[in-house]
Amino acid sequence: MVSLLLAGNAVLAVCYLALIAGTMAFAAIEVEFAENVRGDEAQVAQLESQYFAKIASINTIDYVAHGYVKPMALIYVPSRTDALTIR
Amino acid sequence: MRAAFRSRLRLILALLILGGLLILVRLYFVQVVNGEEYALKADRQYASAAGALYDRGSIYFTRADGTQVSAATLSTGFLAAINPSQLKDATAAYAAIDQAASGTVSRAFFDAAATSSSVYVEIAHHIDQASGAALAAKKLPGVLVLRERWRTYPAGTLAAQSIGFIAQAADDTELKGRTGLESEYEGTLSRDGDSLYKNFFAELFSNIGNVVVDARDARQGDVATTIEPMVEARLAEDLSGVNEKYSSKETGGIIMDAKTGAIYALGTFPTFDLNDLGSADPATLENPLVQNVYEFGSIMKPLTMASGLDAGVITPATTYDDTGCIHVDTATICNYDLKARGVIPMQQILSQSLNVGASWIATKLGPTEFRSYFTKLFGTKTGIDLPAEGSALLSNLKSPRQVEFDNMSFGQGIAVTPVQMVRALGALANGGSMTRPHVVSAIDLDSGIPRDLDWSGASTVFKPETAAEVSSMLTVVVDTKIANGKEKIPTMSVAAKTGTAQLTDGHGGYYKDRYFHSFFGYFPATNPRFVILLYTNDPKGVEYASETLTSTFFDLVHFLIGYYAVPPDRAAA
Repeated sequence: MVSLLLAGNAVLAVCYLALIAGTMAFAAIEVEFAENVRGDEAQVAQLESQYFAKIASINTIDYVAHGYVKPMALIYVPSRTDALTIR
Repeated sequence: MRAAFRSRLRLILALLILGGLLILVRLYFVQVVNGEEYALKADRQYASAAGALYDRGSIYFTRADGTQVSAATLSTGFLAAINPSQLKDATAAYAAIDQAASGTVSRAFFDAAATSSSVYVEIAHHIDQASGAALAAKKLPGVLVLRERWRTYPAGTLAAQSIGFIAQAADDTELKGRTGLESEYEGTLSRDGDSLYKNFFAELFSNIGNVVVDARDARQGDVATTIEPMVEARLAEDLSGVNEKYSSKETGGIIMDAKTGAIYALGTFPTFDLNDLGSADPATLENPLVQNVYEFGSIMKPLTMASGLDAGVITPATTYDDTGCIHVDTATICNYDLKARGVIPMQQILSQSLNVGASWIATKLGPTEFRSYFTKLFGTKTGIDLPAEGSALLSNLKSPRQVEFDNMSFGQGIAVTPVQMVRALGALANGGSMTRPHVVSAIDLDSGIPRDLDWSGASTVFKPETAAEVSSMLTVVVDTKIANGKEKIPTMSVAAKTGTAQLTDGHGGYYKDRYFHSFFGYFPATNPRFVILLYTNDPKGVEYASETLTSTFFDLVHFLIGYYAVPPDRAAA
């Protein structure tokens, strides 16, 4: 009986240690993943800043200075089945 | 029995050895593989009691194709600090940190370095990844390079007043949203700190409820706006152009979905860069589109016309005798050019923007009906999801005199916010019902579930046939009157109206030579998709709104037609 209790206690002790190790490992992995996500988001933010800067530069282009003029007229025509669809 | 006892002993021993091996393996990973990283974290816990890296949800613009682009997010980098008690070469440390911080470190560094009793002094913030890593690699004694996160706004000045910013307040050192969406959605965007650094094991046993089902998952998330970045950029460019060309005090605009009230773009100029609050003019930090009230002038006339038609006191075929000027109570009301037109139909009140005609409709309506319609239009706030929304100034609706109602009929003596104005005029584009203007479409919760916000519940002001009739009239204004009909788009019906109001002089009167210009319109007029409101406050050297805002309005119309591929709604004549 005593030996059974001792064995049970030993098993519980090992399980307890394993639980600590497991939860610490899980927490470390979770921290690492979260840091990686935030790091990726920061890199995306840099790309987005470049995107907005590009939009601003496009909007400020002086087309006349580059030799372009506004179209004389805009005419809508019926579409053909083989027409190229842009959108 | 002895054999059984020995086998049990061996089993226990094996389990103990296995447990020990597991711990050894974990120790290897902690001490050897990730040792440096934990040492850095330990440094940070010692150095900064607050401990946690800054964390906050993001705010997104939504492109026409549905993809999201950050309006407010987090940047990751480093901060450089020194431990004066361990600093060996202050000059070398200064040079290295200054190089990493792009030359922004002041000479006060040496005073801080000389205080040998200190153990931690922060020197430079927001150092980028590459520079911070290079500084850390130098391993200078006494120089600490610590991970840092901060709020960043990739779009800079776009919709700055509406996105808002985070800051500390005099009575509150916590970094919180103070203006705009950052403030309005503070509960959604704020995070409790980097909770991952908490002791998970302790949480497991003391706070098991939160570990299993975290209540924060139902609240914390990212904010998805209805703002389209390309449209916003185009609007911002146009507004700054008008403001600079006419040296206006302020120029603003709103582009809204006619059916849902979703705002595609909103902005004012002058504005400020959200990433450089130190250089911002404090006067530009508030959001005049929701906070300030203005007398919009003649763009009120379509609402007067709609009220008259809806109440049945006039029809499109009704005529009146325009004498150029009328005397009401003790005041004189005149057309802009003081000229009489004789007997003319209702269309001409909008086409020629006649104050006498608008006053005539107000008189026909009578104070009770006029008050009823304008209270429905402007008596309540819009409930837009931006903070500090102002209320309209409608005290003249209680006046016992007719002259106040006549003035209000053409947009003077009544002051409303731009967002109230676009909501009211938007009723003409939405079958007579006012939508609920809003800037946020959904909350993307941290749990992964998107929570759409319900902005339904339009309030009916006019009958659909009334709205259709006024839309038809405003289309005639564009096709025949604005810029003498040169802006007419043969294949697209556009309804629009200009407004030129005299600015108040602060003494109960109006300036004779200072104006508030406005321009309102929507298209396609037969089934509106977009509503546009523009204004410019106190433009110099120009009298009428048709001069300042016409080209800007139609630039936006053509841009939207192309960007959203809006199909034509009428055949070219």
